[in-house]
Amino acid sequence: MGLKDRYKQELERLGPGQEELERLYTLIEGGTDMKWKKWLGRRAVAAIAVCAALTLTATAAAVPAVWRSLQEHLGPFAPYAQYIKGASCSDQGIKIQILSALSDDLAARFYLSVQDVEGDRLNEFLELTGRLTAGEEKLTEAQASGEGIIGGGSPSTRNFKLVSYDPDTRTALLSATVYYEEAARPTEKARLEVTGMTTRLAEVWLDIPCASVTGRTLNSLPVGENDKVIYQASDSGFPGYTNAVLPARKVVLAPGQTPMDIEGTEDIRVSSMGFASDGRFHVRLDFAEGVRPGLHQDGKSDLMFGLYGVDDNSNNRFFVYQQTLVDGGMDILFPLIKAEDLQTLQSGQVKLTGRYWRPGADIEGSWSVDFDLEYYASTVLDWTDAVNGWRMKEVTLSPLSVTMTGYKGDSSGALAYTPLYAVKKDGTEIAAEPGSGRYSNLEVNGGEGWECYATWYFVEPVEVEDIACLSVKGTRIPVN
Amino acid sequence: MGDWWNDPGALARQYAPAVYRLAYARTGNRADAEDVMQEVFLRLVKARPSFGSGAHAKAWLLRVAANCASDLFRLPWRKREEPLEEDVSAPEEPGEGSVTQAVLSLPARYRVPIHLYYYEEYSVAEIAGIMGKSEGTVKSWLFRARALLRDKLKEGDGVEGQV
Repeated sequence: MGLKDRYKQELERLGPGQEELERLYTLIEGGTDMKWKKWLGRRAVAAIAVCAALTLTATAAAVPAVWRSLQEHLGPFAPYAQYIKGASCSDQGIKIQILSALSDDLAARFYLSVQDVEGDRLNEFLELTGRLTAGEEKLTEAQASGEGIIGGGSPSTRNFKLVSYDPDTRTALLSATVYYEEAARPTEKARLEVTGMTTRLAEVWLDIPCASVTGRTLNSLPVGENDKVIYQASDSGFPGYTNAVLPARKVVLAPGQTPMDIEGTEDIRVSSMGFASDGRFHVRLDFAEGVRPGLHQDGKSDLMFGLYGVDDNSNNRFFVYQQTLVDGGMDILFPLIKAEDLQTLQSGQVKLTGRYWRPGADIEGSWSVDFDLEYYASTVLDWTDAVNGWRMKEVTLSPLSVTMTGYKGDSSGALAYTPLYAVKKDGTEIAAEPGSGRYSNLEVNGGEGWECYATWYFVEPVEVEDIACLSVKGTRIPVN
Repeated sequence: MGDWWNDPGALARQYAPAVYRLAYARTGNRADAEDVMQEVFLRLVKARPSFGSGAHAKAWLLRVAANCASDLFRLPWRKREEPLEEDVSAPEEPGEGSVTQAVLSLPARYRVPIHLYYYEEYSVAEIAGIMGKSEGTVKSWLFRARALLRDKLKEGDGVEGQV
């Protein structure tokens, strides 16, 4: 059963229940005077708690190469990071150590090292399976008193990103970020739990430029007995595109005609790219030894392709393709891209994303470590004027970030994606990049107007006492 | 017989499950989805917009449902990175390794478009219309969402050994 059908089948088992539907029908027939359930919308979030002062403790516990990589990744934030001592655990000959954290009450970024102390099983494809938990959910007054909806527990992340790998010391440096924003806050205790790791599964986001494609017909081979289709044109899922779009002649490109490296990988390279004898655009990829695409239980490939940068990217035909496993690699056929598309094709690129298997190791085990987290508590500014028409309920500032919560009668005049600067007392400015946020229609709670919550992260840390004001949308918010 | 698509009762009987399922796909919670379903039809009864067809009415209902579910869903930061927490699973919740669970573990902004795409089988253009976004944005969302979805499902399905 395909993904779409599975999804439909599952959802249909999850309600709504007949009782709830009957209740809805009765309510509608009774008009709006009947008793509708209270709408559980957003509620204002309580003011940010004042936390203990931050103290920095520096310790050089990591191997030198990893330490250098950590310092490089932290950049100007290095002096503001917490360096964590003695937080390590070992299993299966693998040592995991929490090295550093950079946190305020908006987000916390953690760094950890993973070192193979017994062998050479790790590399730059290392992925961890586990969770880093740090903080607690904020409860509104209503939630604290047992009313209102409560979310899913402590803030945490499962997303560990490899920063660097040092083959000499067989040590990887990874980062992980926990976001608090308006619904949670950090706590002084954090915990890392890891249940496994692998170097066998690689993820790629690759671009293959098509500028070198020509209109000539490349040598082609009939689809062989051992060739296997692992993704059909109909799998692309766009309505109306079935396997009927496939050409009558079943061919793949012969290998080695237009060889080209792909930036960012040594596992996959272009073997041939251009128009085959079926008149359609093909890309034949070579896989390094031991490399093969990840397949799902239904046998479909995990690799996804698309033609981007072409004139009309809204046309689904650029995203319809068939993948065929061939000797040593894969042939990708774009059945709706023909010679007359050459000019637009040359301006674009084939994007390849997905996961594939490569030679490596799977290591299962149990690693867990508790550690102390120190973080910068934001200052709530004593300022409630308007920014771009939004009346501020609260503006907060930390060495790392800014948040604003505002109210407006309508949703016009966005704050999201708006540049913000901290203006120092000496007149110099430090930029802050917009983070995530929200707009909420207060009508759903029986109120009026709109509420916005916006966040910014400084590109370099600021000393709050050195800041004269924040500048956003032509408004200057005094700080000191 | 008048146009049924301008009768709230008929619309509820026709489209309430679709509204509920979109809300469930966005919130991952039955009670929230029921609240959203009720809210959507309350707004319908109050506003009584005039529709040109059943499809038009359905698109309106789904758009309102998406907005209501987004407002209700007050923890976007957590859902952005996290699969479902273990402690929210209940008997009626989707099981481990299910497609529904994978959809619910997608970043919040991808869930509505991916639901409209897979469940309602809307085109990119139709989804763009319902969500008030450009086709390019929707296409980009779907591309990323499908990649993530395959990733999530692979964790449960066991990609290894399938070659």
